[in-house]
Amino acid sequence: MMILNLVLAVLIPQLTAFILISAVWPREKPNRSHLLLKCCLAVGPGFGLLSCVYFLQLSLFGPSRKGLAAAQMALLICALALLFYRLKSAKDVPASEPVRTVLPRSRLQLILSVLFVVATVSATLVFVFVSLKEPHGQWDAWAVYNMKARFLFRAGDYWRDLFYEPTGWTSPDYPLLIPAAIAACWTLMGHETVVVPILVALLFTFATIGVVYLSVSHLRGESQGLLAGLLLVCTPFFIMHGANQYTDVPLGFFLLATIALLHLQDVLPERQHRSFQYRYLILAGVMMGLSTWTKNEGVLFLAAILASRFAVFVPRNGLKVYLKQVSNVAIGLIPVLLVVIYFKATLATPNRMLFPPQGPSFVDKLLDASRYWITLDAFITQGLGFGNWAVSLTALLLFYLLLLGLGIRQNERASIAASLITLGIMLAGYFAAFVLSPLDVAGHIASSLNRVLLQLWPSFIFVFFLIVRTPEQALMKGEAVSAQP
Amino acid sequence: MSFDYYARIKVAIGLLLFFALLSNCRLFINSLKLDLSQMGRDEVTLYQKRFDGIRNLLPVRGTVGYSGDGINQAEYWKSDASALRNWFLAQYTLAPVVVSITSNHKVSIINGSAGGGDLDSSENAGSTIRDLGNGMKLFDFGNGLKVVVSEQ
Repeated sequence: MMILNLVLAVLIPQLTAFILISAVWPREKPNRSHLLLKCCLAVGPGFGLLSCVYFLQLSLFGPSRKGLAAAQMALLICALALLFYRLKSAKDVPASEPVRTVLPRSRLQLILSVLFVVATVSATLVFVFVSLKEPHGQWDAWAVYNMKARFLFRAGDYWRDLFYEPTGWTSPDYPLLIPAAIAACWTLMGHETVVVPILVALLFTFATIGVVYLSVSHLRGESQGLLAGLLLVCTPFFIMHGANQYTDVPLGFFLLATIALLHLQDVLPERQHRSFQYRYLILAGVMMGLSTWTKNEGVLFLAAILASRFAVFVPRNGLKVYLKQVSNVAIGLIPVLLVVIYFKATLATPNRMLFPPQGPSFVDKLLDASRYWITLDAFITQGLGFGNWAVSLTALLLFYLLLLGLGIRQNERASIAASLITLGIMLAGYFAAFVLSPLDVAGHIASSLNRVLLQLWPSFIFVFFLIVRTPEQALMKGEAVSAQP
Repeated sequence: MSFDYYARIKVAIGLLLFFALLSNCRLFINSLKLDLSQMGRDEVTLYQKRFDGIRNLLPVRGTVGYSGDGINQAEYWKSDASALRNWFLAQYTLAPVVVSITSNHKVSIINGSAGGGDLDSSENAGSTIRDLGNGMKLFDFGNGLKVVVSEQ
């Protein structure tokens, strides 16, 4: 019974999100990789939607298991109705992309597929072992996110007490996606179990790997997708951090999902029916919104992505097209953003990083050159050693890029440039946050820098494998070279 | 020329795969060191059990005081890491009660290292009780946890 409750509590929100994504997804012929991509993408909005509904229910009506279950069922029915309406609608464009011929798998693809499966099984076992060893997760998991989930679930009508801790150490300004999703699952199940946070972490971790593999496969072919997926699944820090139940992995999921959906949008061919051109943008808007509901860094990401696309696309396509795109993003973004704004306006206290109660003044920190050197040194050192690989992963990727060469497609240049600028703004934002930190800079960097780099890691892998030549492209170029007299 | 080109492509892909799988294998081998007999006996689970005895003395909700070895009450962020860890674990365990290092609470938890009981005390439900005067009682659970209850 407990397992059935657990499955229903987790599965129904995922199913609802999957149906909603399918209803919005540009129409296409049935495609296995799209189906899997939608399944992976549904993980974030599934938990995101559940947490938003749960938080609004707590805020407006108070806690109620029956009420939450009814809301979930109502959402599922609405999603089904939307999908049904969409399927019945004859206005849509029949094919969203060029028809691809299915080629037999090459030997390389076969080898990569086997390695990918082996590495994924191995990573899953590691995740399970770590979770058995530390079922409550690591420090931030039990001190902040799971503690808040317990508070929301156990406190009943007094859940707001969570935000009144006098010293503010519980970070009452942190958004609630993960704690509220966990508490909502417990509420639906009727009891508390450590299996829920473990399952939430597991789904986010492996859905991120799935999105990297499937979206790169879609844009660059299966070999490239498998290489990208392998790189992520074989990053020990990513798997360990996921199993430690930190929210950097869910945030990384939303950043990646946004960037991947924007790329899928940007490579769509121009078509006659303009009203159906921007469906990926609506989904990207949802992902952006949910990133702001996961961690405060999501707000930086939102600003970064809007600014980078403005800088790249306005000179290229004009302001009108950009605004049209932003208005479609807003359809998905605004509902989630309203929840975040409501939370910030009614419950959250001012952010202690931006408005510190202690430490040197803002100007003192801004003018202290030693802070810049400490931070820069840490960025270079940790950037080179990132991922806990046997060798420097950054150096290896640079070496790989030099040997295979660049393979940027003409129609993706702007999109890739926008993504790189976004990642650059994020890095600059993190750099500034450390320089202006109210805490001891070295200590703050030691405890946080690798985690914030991890947030960007899946997106970086995605963009990297769009930039570098695919194995097939590289080998074809070799044939062209050898054919020359 | 052709051989060189193919060779370098193969080397690049081969190296990437080799080091990826090496990292994966190393992680897997390290994780196999798990001792299954220790399941359910992880640090956090065991630490939470220390608090089983004091729950009856705590309110269902509201704020209780907290003090512990190494906690800097005035500037808590300057406390040592193990003291902060103990405080945060207490909060994780006792939620939805707010465990605060501020003073003047009717109930306060003293989270110290395990030690002996007091001489002038009486046994009560796994704890020894000492009257501190002024309507205040101290419950010592013998595992480093004490609770001060003010009846005023």
